[in-house]
Amino acid sequence: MTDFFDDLERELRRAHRRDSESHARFRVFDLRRRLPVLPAIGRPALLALAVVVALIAVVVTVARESDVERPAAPPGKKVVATDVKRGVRFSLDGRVLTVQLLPPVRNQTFETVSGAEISATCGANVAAPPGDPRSETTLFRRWPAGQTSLSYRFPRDVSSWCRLDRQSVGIVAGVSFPGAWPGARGPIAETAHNWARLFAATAQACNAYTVCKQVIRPSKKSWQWAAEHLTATVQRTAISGDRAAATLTNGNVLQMRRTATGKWLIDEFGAGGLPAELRRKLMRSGRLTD
Amino acid sequence: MMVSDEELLVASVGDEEAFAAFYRRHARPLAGFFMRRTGSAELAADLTAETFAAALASRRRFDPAKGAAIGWLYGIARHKLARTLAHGRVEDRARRALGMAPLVLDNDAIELVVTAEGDVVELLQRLPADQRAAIEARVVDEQEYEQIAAAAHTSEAVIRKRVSRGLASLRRKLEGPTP
Repeated sequence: MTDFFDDLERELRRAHRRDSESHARFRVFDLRRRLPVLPAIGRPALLALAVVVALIAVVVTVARESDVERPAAPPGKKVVATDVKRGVRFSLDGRVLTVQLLPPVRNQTFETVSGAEISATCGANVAAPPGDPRSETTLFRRWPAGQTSLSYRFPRDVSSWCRLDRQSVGIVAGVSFPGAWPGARGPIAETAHNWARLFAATAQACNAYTVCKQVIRPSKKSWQWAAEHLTATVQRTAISGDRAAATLTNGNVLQMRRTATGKWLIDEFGAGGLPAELRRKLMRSGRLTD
Repeated sequence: MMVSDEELLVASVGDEEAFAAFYRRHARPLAGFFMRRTGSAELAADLTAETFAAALASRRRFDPAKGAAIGWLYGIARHKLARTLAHGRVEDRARRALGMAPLVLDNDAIELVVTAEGDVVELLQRLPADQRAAIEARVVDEQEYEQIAAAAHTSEAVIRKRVSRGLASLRRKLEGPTP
């Protein structure tokens, strides 16, 4: 019988030993620790050595960042979106993303990013599987301590959405850019996409993207259904007046209605009771089952 | 007296046993957390391994002054889960960086991970109802204190106290009886 937890503990112990050994080797070469045993070299030689090390560090940094910092492709349309809750504005000018903490700067957001390595993951609305570099790209940069903005230069089109992450914290902020999905279908696809992501994470079918709001205690069955939405993406959308529908790649159908404020919210799950015109429109572009 | 999670993590920088003890305290509840979130034993097992690998790799950066060790671990866990949800697959960056071998997941291993979910539920069931509800809402469902307080018709301070007491109680249960 395989005990997963024992096996993982053994692997972690081996990894700990390897990590400790390599860390100890690194410390042997730490210049500060070697200084007391290097008096014979003399102060000028040490200074010269320090200058050489600094130059090498600069060259290595420039070389490493060159992929990120190389001249961008011709700038495209500038789009701006704000994560209001976290107070973070994302401005995308062509392939250059500038992230700015909006005044009044939220203490929690500032403390999370300042001085930390913050990754920007952005993507374009292209037909590619999740994780495919054509659909999303991640760049890592250290957020300068005390600063309120930072730029990332992407090597390809990332005009649909962006997210900031910090390894030990999780998602710092995220937005979908306006116009990621063309025309009036954009907000519908966005509602369906966001609902699927939130549902997969919480198993709460009623959430911020639905008409219903009640919080239920998820059952095992609801977690299983939610898990089917882990990788689901929007396949087709259809609009008829104030009603709309979207199909997901896992076969689920989401019915929506437009609220008085123009926002699309989900009011039915599945194709049951779907208005005939929406059904016809969805079927025109693919198979639709209840 | 039982060594705290924070002391274990600090000691784990150079002490393999300390990290192993920290792992044994939290591996099954963490796997249960991932089971509840994903509904898949394979995903939960992979996420558990990747989370502990990331914790091992970054243990030198853990600062007890900035917060509890359990919050730090579950912060990594939530980050890994979010990336899995966004990418549709579990990353193995931390495991690869540490040169860890992939784990074999046979039926027995899967069953162990599935039962870990029950362990968490059982531990939660042993808490008073108000603390259990507060922990589920705050830690599991990540709702804001304000939102939980409104739903429970009470103040944020009361909810914070329930979460804090519940977590302390859970921690004691996880650590087991004092030898």
